[in-house]
Amino acid sequence: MEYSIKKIAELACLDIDPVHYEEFAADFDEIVEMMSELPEYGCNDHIPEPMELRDDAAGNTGCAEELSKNAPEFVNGCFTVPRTVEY
Amino acid sequence: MLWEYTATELIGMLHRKECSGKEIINDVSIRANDVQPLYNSYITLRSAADTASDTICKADECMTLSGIPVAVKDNISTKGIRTTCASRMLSDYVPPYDAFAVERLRLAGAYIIGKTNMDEFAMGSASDTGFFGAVRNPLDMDYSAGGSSGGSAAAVAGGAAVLALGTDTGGSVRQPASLCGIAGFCPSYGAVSRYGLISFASSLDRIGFMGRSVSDLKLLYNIINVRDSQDVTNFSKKNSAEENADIKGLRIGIVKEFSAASADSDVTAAVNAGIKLMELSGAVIKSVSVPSVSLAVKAYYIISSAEAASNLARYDGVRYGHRAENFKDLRDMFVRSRSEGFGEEVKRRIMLGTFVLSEGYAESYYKRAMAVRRQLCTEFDEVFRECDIIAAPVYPCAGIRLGEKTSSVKRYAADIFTVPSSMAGLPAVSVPCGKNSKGLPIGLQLIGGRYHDDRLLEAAEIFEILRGDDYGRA
Repeated sequence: MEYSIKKIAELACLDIDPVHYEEFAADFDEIVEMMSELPEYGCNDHIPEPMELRDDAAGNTGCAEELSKNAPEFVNGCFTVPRTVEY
Repeated sequence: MLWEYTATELIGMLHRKECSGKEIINDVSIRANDVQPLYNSYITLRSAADTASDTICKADECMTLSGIPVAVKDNISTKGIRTTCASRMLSDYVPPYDAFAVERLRLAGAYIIGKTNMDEFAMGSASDTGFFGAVRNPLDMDYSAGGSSGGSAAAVAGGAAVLALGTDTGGSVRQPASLCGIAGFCPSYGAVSRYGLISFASSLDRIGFMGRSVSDLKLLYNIINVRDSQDVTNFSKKNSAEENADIKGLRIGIVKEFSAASADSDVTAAVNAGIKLMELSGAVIKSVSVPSVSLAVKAYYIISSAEAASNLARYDGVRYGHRAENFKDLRDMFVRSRSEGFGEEVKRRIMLGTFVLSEGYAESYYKRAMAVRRQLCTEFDEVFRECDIIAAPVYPCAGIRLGEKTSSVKRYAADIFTVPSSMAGLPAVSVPCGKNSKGLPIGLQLIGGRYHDDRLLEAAEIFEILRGDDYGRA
């Protein structure tokens, strides 16, 4: 099976600890092999019941301050991140 | 001691004025603090001395759960109380709102005694993948309490709570209930609002209930099973009008494919004895077939991992959650924060989900798994035309020894009895039915047709009465 664990980790925004990489990779391969044995079913008639959607309306939850307390860094009413634009 | 009673018994005692709500809360809180170093069932536990709160003051008011301490799994949001999902990622997270289920508990007068330990983000089956250490089984501390709702199960079994909320994605309420010798109920998908439940796999996640008797499960279910427009998958459809509560003529299906799956002999013997007991009381036993059961575990791990990869993409260290201290740039901050914040099992599931959704693999993994799920639903629909409930084991063995090294594939395969009904959104309950030679409890799983939750609970209660013995106390 042609896939790269390093590439998958990159897509998932994760680093795999190099000390345990071999063990992790072997385990991952075994799970992928287990999951590879699914047969191909054609379409059947099962139609899920439709969901009743609520209005997509903005509301004021009044908890902005509490939310901001969970942020790693919150300055002048903004969530901050490292600089993304070089100048 | 008051902590030894079921919620139903305690409510009766309160009505007869044999004890007060404050006495119950104090007694259970003292017990919970005493056993916490032994079982590690809580991540956040309110102090036994914390008697000045508003909730305690309401302990003797006449609400359904006044004076009843209820534990809440730590992936269910509680306003102002830290909610960690047993992850370093959320180790300091304090939700600004209550989950709908918690709001219902508070309205019913319940005392939220604490937040229970679990597998990280509910991914695991032994409550040993979390950041706060493993949960020990109160019946034998060399063994796990099961997972992922192991803390809730251990708290109820060990007298550290009277009732508990857990969550069940592939068996996470039923399995720990079975391993700890208590009752655990996973309602139909959609029967209970998921608003405020921190998502693992949204199409499978359900809030479930734990107690020392089936009547306690009914009590909790009736309080929380209320329509909530905040969860679009919440559906108030009920089929209670034609529910048959009589054991005579109750049609119990035995799934051939479950019988073919390997379970320990003591588990099979206890489950078969439970089924025989119902047959002798007038139930009709039928052999039925759900061929796709053998594919359910594989499809489940594809679908749940895919949804986990998507749901957990939100943890990037920006708005909440762990942020790494040292990083080069924004991308590096994401990678380091996620790599430091998540444990090994969570990383494995995110990676699996990323893989099955990636270009070139989604057709042969994710789409096939979804087709298996639809096929499984169709097969269960057919079976429930012939029978009222299905009886099966919960878990292939009676105990999971703590620290035992097992491959991921083996651990996942052990979910064979719980995952099929999870995939089909069916209600299922675990009721203690026996013990193995070491005294570890074994659960009987009863599965109902979709939205036939009331009938299922009635059948479970009848079984509990027929069984007679009291398994619900550590």
